[in-house]
Amino acid sequence: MNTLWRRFHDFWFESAPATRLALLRICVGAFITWFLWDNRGTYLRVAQLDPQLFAPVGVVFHGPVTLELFRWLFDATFVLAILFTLGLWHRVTAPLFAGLLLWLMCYRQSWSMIYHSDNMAVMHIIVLAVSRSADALSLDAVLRSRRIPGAASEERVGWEYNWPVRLMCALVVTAYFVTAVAKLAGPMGLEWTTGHNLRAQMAVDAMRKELLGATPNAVSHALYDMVLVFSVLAKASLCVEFFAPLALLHRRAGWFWAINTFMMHWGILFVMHITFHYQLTGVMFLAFFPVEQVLVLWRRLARALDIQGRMPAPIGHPMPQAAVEHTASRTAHHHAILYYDGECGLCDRFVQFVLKHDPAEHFQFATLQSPAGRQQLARLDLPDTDLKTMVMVEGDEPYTRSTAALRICRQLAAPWPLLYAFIIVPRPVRDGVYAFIAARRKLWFRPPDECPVMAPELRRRFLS
Amino acid sequence: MSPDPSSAVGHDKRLALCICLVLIGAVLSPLPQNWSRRPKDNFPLSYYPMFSAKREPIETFYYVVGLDGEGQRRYMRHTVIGDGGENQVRKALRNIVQAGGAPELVQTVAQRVAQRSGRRYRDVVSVSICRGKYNVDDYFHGKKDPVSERIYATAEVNRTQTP
Repeated sequence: MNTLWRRFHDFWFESAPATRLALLRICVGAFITWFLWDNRGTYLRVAQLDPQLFAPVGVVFHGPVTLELFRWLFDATFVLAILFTLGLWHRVTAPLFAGLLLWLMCYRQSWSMIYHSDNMAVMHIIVLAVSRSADALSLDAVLRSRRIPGAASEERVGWEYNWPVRLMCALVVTAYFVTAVAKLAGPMGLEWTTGHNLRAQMAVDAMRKELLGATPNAVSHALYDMVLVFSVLAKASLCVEFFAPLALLHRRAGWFWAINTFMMHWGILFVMHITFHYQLTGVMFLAFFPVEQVLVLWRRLARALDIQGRMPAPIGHPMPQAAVEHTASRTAHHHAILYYDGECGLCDRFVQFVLKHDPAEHFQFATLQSPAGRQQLARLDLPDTDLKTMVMVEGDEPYTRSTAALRICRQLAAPWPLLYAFIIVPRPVRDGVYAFIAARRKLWFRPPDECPVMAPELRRRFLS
Repeated sequence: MSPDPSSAVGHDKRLALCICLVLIGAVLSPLPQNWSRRPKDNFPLSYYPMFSAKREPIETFYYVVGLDGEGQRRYMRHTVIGDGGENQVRKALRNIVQAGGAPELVQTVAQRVAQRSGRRYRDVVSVSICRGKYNVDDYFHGKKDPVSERIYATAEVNRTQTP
């Protein structure tokens, strides 16, 4: 029991950067700000509906309020949404915003129709409001750094920035699990998985809309007779919902689930024209991803732009004097070694590509045929006669095949780190593509006839 | 309870854990509605009943039909019936009809139609609030007429009074 608790504790209270939670505050806050801006007219019209339709839900325990008061409260919520997004006076404005937003949303749903698409946005705002989501990337942080010079809030790391993120994910998967239970506990039970009811749901939804004057939905009419499609969709959607809690167990399981659920909502939009804004924009799923990496990419892009024109010259060409001076002035600090096949045209081109897009000089290079390269191959138990993979050693950790290629891209100047997103593709699939190309590389790419003359700064990065 | 040596940190973690348990518990709390005799949906804590309801081969719908001079039917858009989107209007229409408010509503719809000049509305001479039963399968195979229909209220579209 103690071990279980400790594992849970380490998982739930793992350290995370303050910027992750802060970025979630900005994204969710910006979404709500846009949502309120876009729906102001609808909210005000709904608030003028026949009071007979009013059936209070949630935290609304009273009758309809005057339009003037509602407008005032709506506008106050909108202003607070902006302050929340900017992170100004978070300790006061955020709880006030969460409370007002909860009331506003409940009031809007109290007119005989509950829209379920907004539930999770409200829950996420509550989590962000009661946590330290404005410790970084906020006006509060700017004001604090002015009061206390040197207080770099963006570099803060701690458990207090992780549990709200875990909770946001947990709330999302719990809601989907509740949806699955509703299907299984409903009148259809397990029969729901046959897809007949899903097909009927889609049909009735389309008819409701058509009978209220909407243009017939061509997709639902085209799909209606494809019973097998609905059988597959019903099983897939029930799996996504019922097994949602598994997404909490592992980082990649979370990514996989979030992407699938995101696509499921786009499928619902395509087939049924039902718009779940929070889901369709992807904002709801951001907590599953290390969103702070966007800042790393942004800084890398800014750095790349900053040293634009001072990149190392291509191999065989003289380096501009300014670039030589700039590079020489930097402390040579390499973090990884790339071992490649020295007799392969594709590998040669790849090394040139890395040299060109590695202004931070993260990589050093050696051929697999060199003593150091052979040592690495022996360490990985790979043959030194049939070279089918490059090896990238980062820290002391060796990486091969597609993982090596993607991890190299991650360290390059923007936009190449975006390719690292392919790491979520299962490794056998990635390595299959890599092996396909590797087997044909000598056929497709001839090795260079002659060795280029490199500038001294570049030559220093080659170990062999 | 907490493995953290600092009691202040331990207290903060316990508080965080309480918040987590309360919120996750809150999202799970509507689950018993699934087995309730009279389930009630709520916001933001829902039991998400929308896709679990069993659909019948013949379904009932509320709508507003307009007739042109030649007796052709045209379904009126939700925007001339009420505010708040298709689903909001659908539910409001059903509630109003069930509360006996169809005669007043149909007059309002007729006035709105009279003010519209779009192709859907310009030839409409009368509007009726209806409840119709439709065979879903037939509808998706081209037979779009209702199996049965009850008209709750009808109003003439009087364009001469339109300002």
